[in-house]
Amino acid sequence: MAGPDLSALPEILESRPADPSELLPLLTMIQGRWRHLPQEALRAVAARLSLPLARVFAVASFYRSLSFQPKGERLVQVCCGTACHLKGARAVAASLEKSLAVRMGATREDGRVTLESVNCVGACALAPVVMLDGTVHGKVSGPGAAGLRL
Amino acid sequence: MPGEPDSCAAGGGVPAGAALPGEAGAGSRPRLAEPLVEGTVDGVRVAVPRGATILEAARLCAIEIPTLCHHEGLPPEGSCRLCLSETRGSLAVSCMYPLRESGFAALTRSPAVLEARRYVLSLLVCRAPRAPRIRKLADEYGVSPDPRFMRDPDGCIRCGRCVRACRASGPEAIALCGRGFARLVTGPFGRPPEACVGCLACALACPTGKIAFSERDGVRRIWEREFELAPCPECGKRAFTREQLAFLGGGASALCHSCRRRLMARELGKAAALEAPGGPALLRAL
Amino acid sequence: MRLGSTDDLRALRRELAARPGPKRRLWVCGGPGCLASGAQEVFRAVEEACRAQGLGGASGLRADLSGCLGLCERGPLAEVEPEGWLYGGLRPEDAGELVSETLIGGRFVERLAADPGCREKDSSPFYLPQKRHVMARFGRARPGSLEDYLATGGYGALELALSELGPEETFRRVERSGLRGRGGGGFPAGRKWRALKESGGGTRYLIANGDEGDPGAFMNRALMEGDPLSVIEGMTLGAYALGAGRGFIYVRHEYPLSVERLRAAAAAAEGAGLLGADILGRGFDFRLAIVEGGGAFVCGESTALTASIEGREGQPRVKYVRTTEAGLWERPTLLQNVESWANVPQIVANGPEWFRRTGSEANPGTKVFSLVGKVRRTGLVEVPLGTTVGALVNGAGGGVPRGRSFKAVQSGGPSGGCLPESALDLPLDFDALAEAGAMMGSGGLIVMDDLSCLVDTARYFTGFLCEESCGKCAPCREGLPALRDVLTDLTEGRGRPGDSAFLESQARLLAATALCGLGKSAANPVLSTLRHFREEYMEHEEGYCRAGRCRGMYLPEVDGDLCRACGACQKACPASAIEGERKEKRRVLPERCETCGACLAACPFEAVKARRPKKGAPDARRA
Repeated sequence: MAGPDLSALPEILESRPADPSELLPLLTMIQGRWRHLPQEALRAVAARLSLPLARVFAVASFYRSLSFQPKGERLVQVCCGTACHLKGARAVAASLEKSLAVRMGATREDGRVTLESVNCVGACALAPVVMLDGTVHGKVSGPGAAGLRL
Repeated sequence: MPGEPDSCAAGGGVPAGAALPGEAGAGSRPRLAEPLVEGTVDGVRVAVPRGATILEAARLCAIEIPTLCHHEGLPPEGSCRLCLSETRGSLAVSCMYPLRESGFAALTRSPAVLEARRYVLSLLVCRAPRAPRIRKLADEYGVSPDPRFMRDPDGCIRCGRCVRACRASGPEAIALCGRGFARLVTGPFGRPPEACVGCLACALACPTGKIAFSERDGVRRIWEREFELAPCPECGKRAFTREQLAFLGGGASALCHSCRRRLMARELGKAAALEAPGGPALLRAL
Repeated sequence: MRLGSTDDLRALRRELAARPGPKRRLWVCGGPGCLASGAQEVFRAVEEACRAQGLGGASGLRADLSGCLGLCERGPLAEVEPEGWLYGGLRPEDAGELVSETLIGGRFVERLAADPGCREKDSSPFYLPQKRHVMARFGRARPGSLEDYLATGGYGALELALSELGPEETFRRVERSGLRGRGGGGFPAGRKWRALKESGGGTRYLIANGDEGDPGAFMNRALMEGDPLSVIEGMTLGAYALGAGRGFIYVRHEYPLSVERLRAAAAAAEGAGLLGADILGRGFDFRLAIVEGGGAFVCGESTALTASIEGREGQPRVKYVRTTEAGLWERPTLLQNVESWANVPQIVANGPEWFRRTGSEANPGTKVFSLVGKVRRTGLVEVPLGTTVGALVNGAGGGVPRGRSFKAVQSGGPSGGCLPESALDLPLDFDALAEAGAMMGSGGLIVMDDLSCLVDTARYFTGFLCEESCGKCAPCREGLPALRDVLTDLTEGRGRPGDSAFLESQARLLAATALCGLGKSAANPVLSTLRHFREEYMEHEEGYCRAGRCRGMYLPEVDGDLCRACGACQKACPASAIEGERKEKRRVLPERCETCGACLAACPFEAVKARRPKKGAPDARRA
């Protein structure tokens, strides 16, 4: 499999000062652009910030918002905050797994959709909540979630 | 945001032994110039330079505090929690707790301390049930691994000594990656570390013997990588890898430890003789 | 326009405050909750309707998005200014009526009332116990609009500080106010400020902690999105009083809109000469950066947060030196929650005595809580500290929904604790909550009813903390999963006698030996539920869950005296395990029951009970 097209990478790298404190912002931008962190991009970040690759990798592996595997084109996140847990997030997750044909925490083989859990998105009053591509949908019911097809 | 000029230890890719920002401070080596502070460890009176740790004070009193993540030559981390002692009514990490004022009173064998150590050991022994050092400690404290919690006994207690050793004296080729229970020492991308120079700093720093290495026919194997060992120009013994010599740079020599010591002693002897009365004549006569 | 002096600022503030407001304004709530229930679509439709009616400009009638109006549960909400009416449950289809009837006609549309029977927002029980200081601009000023902020008293504190008070008196006002940190333990802000002030010379940093990681809490999000400038002004005042040149607002990764609003607000302030270099021509610089987190709960801990800003893994450090001595880049650093910072402008402007007038002696001021879970009215409330838990749960919240009963309230996020019914009389303040085995945390209050299992709740929080543990210290990394495994066994019918006692001893040791504040408090969910709900643990050891939550650990049974033959349970049952004809009391067929709990939740009369499974009987099948 050919790697992703990284021609936009230099521009991203140069948009921030070459300082170690820019590591997380840069990784976040790369994640946003390619929906994951390509290995070559991590090497370029390490070189740009004069950091050992191991340290860049450690930081990249620490934060939940960053991933090494490409995320799907559509991102479905089930909130697992306390209020959502109390109001049946587990049932919502189960019905989404069924209707989207993908396991929790995985990306469907066709690369179209990723289903994952997320820690509280701060819309607790409307629990249970599902986030679709960053937009929050409140008061989702298990059977209602089953209607979602992507 | 623009960088902090005084903040980054890393320059040119190799942090030359410098502690990372944030890892100095508390627990760094006491300076002898500091005034002495007095107190007791387990009732034994002791005076230490201000800023010395409980661990250092205890050692002056010949009181043994077990440690795992602590290493004399590396910045302290206080993460294994084994060296806990009691001071001012609560538990403190002996390897980092700085003694700043006279009148301190640390307890290293109080019931609370022993209970805490037993707890920590009961957790660590589930990770490294076969490591001799952990087993010895576990026996000493009467702890045995609970099969209910033996989820991943891979022999590593995640103390990070290998990573700190690699950062201090090597190229920082490995790191503790991931988080929580799944945290793991590995090279980037979970593969053999490309930057590794085979210097063994990690393996020698490891308290559980988890990092395996071998040497045969002039080749050293570690981290699933092979390194050719350069012969000592004096005796031919192979002590350093070529990558390590290149990493050290500046024409680092492949002299083995014993030849290095022997040559150094010879030079020192020469210098001493030159300074002694009648020395130069003696040297000439020889 | 760049303001060159405090006189310029005063003149502009006067001008904006005197400018006549719109004749009538419809504030469509743009808070986190309402956005989740479709407020953006409603607002778009309202704007459309306004255009169609030719409103705007000279008409004096307008519609705007506001900060969180509070009663999220009934969202999307809208408030009508000046009447103070509150609408709820709005749909885009209602836009035409809202504009023609209310905005133009000045008439209340009864069917859109947010709280039936209450026209005015302030007459709803939800708002009765509230006192809005931090949230004062929600529904009065457009979020992040510098113009509106200035028109509603904003930057009055900075003007006063720079023109009259000077740094020392500005500092003294905060110190004397008795403000306590709003992010967790309630550490006195004045002590932190003094420590920073007395720290050695050189660079000093300020940080606002907006890494609101507690699941079930969203007050910081509402604040950063609803009134970002109050946080920024608070920090600017701190920078002036304490001589700090740089500041950071660390925002949780999951809150992209907060980042956006804060960045826009900071840019506006900077453009006006209120932030950045040479503020108001006084030669005082304060550069502020908005930093986005990477998705790690542990980054709410101060040393982990500073590590994250420095570009490293968010891992806490052993802390024998205070952050105010050596924090960010080893420099003296003052770190406070965003809500603490948002209180600063009001304290400086109105004086410490004014601030102390609200709340109690040791806990002055107000606190924002997110009231969620099993209550009738959920949402965001701001009340004086010392208000009782009951006043929030039963007063503002309206109690648990009909047909169920109150069991516990969880406060303080995963590091907090669950409190029983007796806690309803407890005043909400830092000390009372800590004494009862919970903590204030950042202000999440989650109400649980009799269908919530406290062992399952402990398992949930412990599982959450396991996933969020950074893995640095052994007790948290290794000990927390051990707790979780025992709790999982207990909730899946594999409990053993002695598990509760074992959990208790392990949890205490974890708390005593962990490295950071999060690790030390990670045992709280277990310890607090054990303290107040021990009998449920004992029942789980025997394989019984009284809440009917843990599968296979109970048997639903219809209580014939309570059953009104409505058939709700039968309809809800996915396994056809309930029988009974119309008008007949229902019966459960145990051999078919999958113990999913649907019947328990469906019964409006609490007639379906979770009975102890018979000894020796085969476990109900699991999914």
